Amino acid sequence: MTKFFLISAVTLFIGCGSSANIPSKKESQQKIAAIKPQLDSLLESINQQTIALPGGRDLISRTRASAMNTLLARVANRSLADIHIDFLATRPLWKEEKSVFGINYTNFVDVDTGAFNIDLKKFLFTSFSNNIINAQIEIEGTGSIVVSGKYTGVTAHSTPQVHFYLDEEIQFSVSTADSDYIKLIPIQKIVMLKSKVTIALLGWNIPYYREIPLQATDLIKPVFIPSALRSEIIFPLPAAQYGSQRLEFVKRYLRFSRSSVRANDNGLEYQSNIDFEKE
Amino acid sequence: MKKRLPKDAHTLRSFCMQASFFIIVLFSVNSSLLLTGCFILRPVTGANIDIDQLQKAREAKVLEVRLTGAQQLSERLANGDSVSNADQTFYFSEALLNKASSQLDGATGWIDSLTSYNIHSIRVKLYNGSAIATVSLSAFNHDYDVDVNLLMDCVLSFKIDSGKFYAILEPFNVVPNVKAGGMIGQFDGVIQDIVTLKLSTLSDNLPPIQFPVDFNNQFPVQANSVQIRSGLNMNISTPAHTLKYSLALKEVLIFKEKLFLAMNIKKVGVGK
Repeated sequence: MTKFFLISAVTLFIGCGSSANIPSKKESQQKIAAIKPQLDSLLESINQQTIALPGGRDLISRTRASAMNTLLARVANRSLADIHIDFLATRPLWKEEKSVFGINYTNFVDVDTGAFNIDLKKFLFTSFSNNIINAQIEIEGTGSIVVSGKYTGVTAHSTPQVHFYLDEEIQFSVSTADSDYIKLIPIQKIVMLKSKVTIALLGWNIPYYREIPLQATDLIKPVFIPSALRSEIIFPLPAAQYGSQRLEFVKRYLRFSRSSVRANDNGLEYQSNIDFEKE
Repeated sequence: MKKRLPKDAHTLRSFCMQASFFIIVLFSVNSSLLLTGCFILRPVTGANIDIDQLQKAREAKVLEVRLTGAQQLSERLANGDSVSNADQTFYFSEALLNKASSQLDGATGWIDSLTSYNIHSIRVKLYNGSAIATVSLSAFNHDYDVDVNLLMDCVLSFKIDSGKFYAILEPFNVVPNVKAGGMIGQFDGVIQDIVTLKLSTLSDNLPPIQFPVDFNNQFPVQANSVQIRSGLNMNISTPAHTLKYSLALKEVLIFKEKLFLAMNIKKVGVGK
């Protein structure tokens, strides 16, 4: 009976295709001799075509400038409120001293209150060089505020339109620590927010126009862009105990070293070495 | 009539166990053994197979896999689409793959309730067109006290699932070296076959090698406010929001000592 099983098994195993027989040494040598010249020739050709591919780090990622602008365009085009402006009391916004027949009086307009949203119309990276990114930012919006004042001694209220516009080039410096983020830090620069208020109060037309200087670093905070790496991952291992779960998961931390980032004509290039650390 | 001795009963029980194990294996063999392209090299006792023969067979199979991969890569490079023509590209070093795969060194898992395995090492080599991992492990059948040291050559295939990037091991050369102990030792040739067949399902049980990347990205844009007290008194504020985007895999290419991924932006969204 034992022999029956053994013979059956061996017969079946031998019938199991390529698994049953090992090629002879000579057959293998012939195969190697046939493959090797073809392979060598292909490899030589491939090596020549790929000689310029980057290397030298565990991970190198390259992000095209156009890809970053696709993301920024989505931010600019979103339907949510981009920028909110709350107007505080400004007393006065405008005033003029007058005298009629020796009687002195003051015409003035105060801003009482007001709030509205303005739109980020455009935000895109225009050029990359020497780890500096040039960006174009355009902001525009119109809304109403509440003003009050006196004209020729008569008190009045009005809700004039305020128009804001900003179209400036700003710059970011690009850097990375040994981390999974690329930092875009705005560089200090004064940008001008153009404001125009057209006030009509009791027939008194006041053209108010002013360029409000803003520091780019106040307007835009640093941006931390993930490099697709993660500082920790949940790593699958085989389950040490037999059961319904085939895998178990352990946490591994990643240590980054020799990280660098480069901004050039093609976009951003991030490089880093990575080591796994156990909990 | 010969009287049955306790020893005979023991032998009969052992035989029944072996036979039932056999039958189970035989029924599960056909599907498990016929792994696509799997090539199991078996050093069978007394079959006049020498180590050199095994090594040459293994070398030939590896070269065959490499040739196929190199041909495919060569065709890809000739198709005119630059490898850098993607929104985001990633180059992973061979060293990184080995750091990731070595996380499995020493791990113990199970093929079934009676057969455990222990991974000694997984070492990955990247060639032009192919990634080949050599897995050294031992498997132990607890019922039959059979210990198998196994060397598997595996092609690495790559997949992205829910933003996570994995390498999957697909064996194409399996070289076991069986150590049978206890009463089973007498059947060592057959047991080698059984255990070899059993082990051919191992690839289904090996965990994937996970890369430390996530292609479902999001990053916060901080809230900000500026107070202006010049001319018009006002506070300008921008709300915090999160930019979310996901990347779709365009292609994976394997070059000598590096793995290349090209990804395009698939979805972009802005949330609070």
